[in-house]
Order: sequence, then structure tokens, then C-alpha cells
Amino acid sequence: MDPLQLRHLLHKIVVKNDERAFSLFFDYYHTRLIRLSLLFVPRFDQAEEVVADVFLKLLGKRESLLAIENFEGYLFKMVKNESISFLRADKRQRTGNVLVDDIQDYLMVDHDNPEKRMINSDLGVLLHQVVEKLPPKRGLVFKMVKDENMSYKQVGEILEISERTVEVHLKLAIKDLRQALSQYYQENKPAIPLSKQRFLSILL
Amino acid sequence: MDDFTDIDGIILKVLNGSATKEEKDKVTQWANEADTNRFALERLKGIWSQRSGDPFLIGHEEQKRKLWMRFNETERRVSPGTSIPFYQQTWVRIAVVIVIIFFPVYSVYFQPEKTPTPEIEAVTIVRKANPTGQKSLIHLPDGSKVWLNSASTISYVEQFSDSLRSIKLEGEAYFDVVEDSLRPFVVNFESLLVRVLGTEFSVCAFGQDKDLRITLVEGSVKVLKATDPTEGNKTLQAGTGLIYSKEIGNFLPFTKKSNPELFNKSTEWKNGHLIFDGRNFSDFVAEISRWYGVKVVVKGSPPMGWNIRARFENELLTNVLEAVAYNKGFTYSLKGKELIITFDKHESL
Repeated sequence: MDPLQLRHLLHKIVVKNDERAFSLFFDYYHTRLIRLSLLFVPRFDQAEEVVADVFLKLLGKRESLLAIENFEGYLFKMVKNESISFLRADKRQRTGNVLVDDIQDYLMVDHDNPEKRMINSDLGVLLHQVVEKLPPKRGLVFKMVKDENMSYKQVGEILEISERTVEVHLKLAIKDLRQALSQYYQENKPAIPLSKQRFLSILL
Repeated sequence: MDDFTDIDGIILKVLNGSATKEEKDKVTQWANEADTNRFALERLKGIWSQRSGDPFLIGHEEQKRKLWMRFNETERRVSPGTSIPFYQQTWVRIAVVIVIIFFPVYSVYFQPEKTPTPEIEAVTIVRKANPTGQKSLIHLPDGSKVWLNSASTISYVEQFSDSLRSIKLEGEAYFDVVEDSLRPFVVNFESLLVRVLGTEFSVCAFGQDKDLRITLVEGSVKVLKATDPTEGNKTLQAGTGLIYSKEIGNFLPFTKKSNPELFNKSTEWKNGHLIFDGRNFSDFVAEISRWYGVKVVVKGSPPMGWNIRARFENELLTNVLEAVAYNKGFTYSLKGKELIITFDKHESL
């Protein structure tokens, strides 16, 4: 999120107790943080617990929260650290491991958000699917670098991989997207140049 | 045959903004190899500039409600009933002291006649310029962000001083300024300057345009005439903008409500939204050549009173042209970076 926008949001939450601001903040990060936590803890319910703790701890800092620089990096790092300490505290129960992929069971079937998919909707959905189908770690690397303005170094530290590996993940993500786009282009060639929406968007 | 084996790595650098000139050329060359490549590149740029969504988890809303309740419970525990009177709280006292100490400094500083000018010291000037057809995101040393449009330039001293953050702009840029109440942020462009403390706004000041335009998204800014700061001095509120006519030298206000197209055009270009708000043909040509970095040649005589209104999101040039050509009755041909627009006599009404 935009640092300024994010600060406004956090300010509204901790100072004005604004529930709508909290809702936006939560929607923005929840799924992503759960996925990050799942790289460390084995079960979905554990990840959910870890992320809930992080949310509460952070917001419990109140005004001092606003002084944190690079909040997004901080948030992700905190989820990682909490996940690891959760494991340490929870060693006894570590037997019943479930694969990371069990997150698929908890994801909602692609629910439509008409606001976000106005134009070129089928292409938008396709690309969304490509990103979602990336292996968990790769998808996270892609989103962290692209959306959270995090450096390769920061991402590498959080995911415990080298900067070089971060780059390789990104390249492969780009490759997947690029190939999906090429395929889409080939299949829809005749339809692409002029869609009805574009006609309509031009008023005389 | 050219070698495009590591094209993904180079595309990544271009998207990241860390590509060298050779690498940019390489990607352009790759894009020109085939239409599918060009399509893929344009879309990738679009994807990169938008946040990718996450699907919601099954218990999303429930978990959100639960956390909000727990958050509010902890709050009650933290703040006990016996609250300290307002004026006795430490932060109030500190704030009072700060105000007392800094007020003289502040008020002297904000005298209109003391309009800040960049200090003349032996400092390094950073200059960032975009050619036509390219936008970029620049991080300033104070943490502020600048989206620089194509055919635009900003320059600033490498290290901002303690009292001022000053930027010079030619062309169009969108600023997301980090708040710093002790260090105003000033954008100088042509005959105007904009002074802010921390906010989001867009400035459009292309040399060849008739107008300058300031559009405010958040917070408030002051617009001053560089020559005579006492004269201009307009304060803008969020959701409003100002057009300054270079010829006449007067200001014309507009708001998001009164002119939504112009407002959105000013703020959404950084997301790849190309908006025409009732432009005539020459504006259209100028916009297209800046946005896509093409050289436009016009054959035949374009009709008067074009008034084109349209909106394109991360769209390929050919698609834009296809749509407009259909409506306005011209044909075009695109060879590399040269675009020829031809008006047929019989078609014009």
C-alpha cells in the first residue's frame, strides 16, 4: 500500500478506532500474511492464530505504531518471527504435519468483485489465476517485491533464501505470466483489436 | 539472430526500473519482433503497476470481526478510568514546549516574502528525465515518491537541506509527499510553485501546453507565483484543482465533481489510464506521441471540433488508434516509431 495511505489508515485505526479502516487494512494483508506464515508453520489454523496475534500485537502498540518506518517490511518480518517462535513453543504438537497446499481448501471460490474487473475481465481473471497458481513461495516473492516495495534483500531474509534465488523466482513468475499472455493473444487475436466496451467508451 | 534467452530477467529490470539503456533497448527490440511480444510487454507493465489481489479465505469476515472485538477489548484494559487531565499529559506538555520554541522560527520562515529558493552551495544536482513513451517511479531522499510521466524531467539537490525540500519540474509528475512539518516540500515549474507539507498531488506543466495544472488528491497545498508570491497564493483543498493560463496569467479552479474527467486524467495516468477529456486533434496527437513515444505525421486535413472523450486502461497503441479511427474516420499506419494518420477527403463531413 502507499506509505501515506497506509499511515492514514493506521492512524484511523489506532486513534479514531475506525472499524472501516481496520476492515480495509485486514482485507489488504490477511490472506497474504497467512500464506507467509504457512511457509513456516505446518497447519492452516496455526497460521491463522499466528497472524491474528501479529495483528493484535501491532495494533496494541497504538500511536507508537505510526513511528515504524517501512511498515510493510516490518509486518512481514513480524509474521515470520512469530511463526518461528510459535513452532518452538509448540514442538510437542509438531507431529501431525499437513502439507502447505492445504490452504487451497480454505480459499474461497473466485468470488466476483465487479468493481475490480471492469474492462478486459477475462484477461484479468486469467492473469489472476496464473499468479495464484505459482508455487506458494514464488507467488509471495512476486507480490512482496511488486506490491510491498520490498528489496530483494528484505524478501530474502524473510523467506530465508538468497537474493539470487529471489531474482530467479521473479524471473520464473514473469515467464509464466508472459507465456500466459502470449497464449491469450494467439487465441483471441481476432477479438482483441476492437471490443464493444471500447466502442462505448468513446462518446461523440 | 538476436539472443533473447534471458529476456525475462531483462523485462524484470525494466519493470523494476533498474534497467540500463542497453537493456531497455533490448526489450524494445524484443517487443518489436512480434505482436505477441509487444502485447505481453504492455500487459506485464500493467500488471506490475497494479496490486495483485489475494483470494479471501473462508473464515475471512468472521476472523475480521473476531479480531476487531479483541482489539477493542485490549484497548479498554489499557486505558483505565482515572485519566490524567488533558494539560497534564506528558505529550501535551512536550507539544507546548515545541510550539513555544519553534513558533518564532516557523513564523519567520513562512513569511511570504521569504519564498524559499534552492540554496546555492556546492551540491550535487540529481536530474531524472523520461523520454517519450516511458513513465517511471522515483524515490526521493526524504522517502517521498514521484511518478514521472513521459517526456518529463525533475531535478533536485542530492541531499535536501534541513529547512526545505525543493524540486524542479518540467512536464508532468504525481507527488506522494512524506509529511515533514519542519521542511516544506516545494515544486518549482515554469512561473509557479507549489508548497506543501505532506500530501498527494499532481502537477502538469509541459512547455508546449497552453496551461499549467495542479490537482490535489489529499491534504492541502499552496500555489504561488514564483515572481510575486504575494499575488497568486491560492490554497487548494483535497479533490480540487487549478488551471493556470500562461497567456492570460489567471487561475481557473475546478473540482473532482465539476470536471471529473480532467481530475481523473491528472491523477490516473500513473496507473496507465489514458483519458481524453474532450480534446481537439492537436492535443490528441501531442498526448499520443508523448504516451507511446511515437512520431506522428498527419496527412490530409483533420476536422475541426474533435472533442474526443475516451478512456483506455493500459491499452496498446494500435487498439487506441483502431477505436478512435473508427469513430473519427481516419486511417493510420504504424511503422516502428512512426505513426501516419491519414484523413480521407470523402469521409470528412
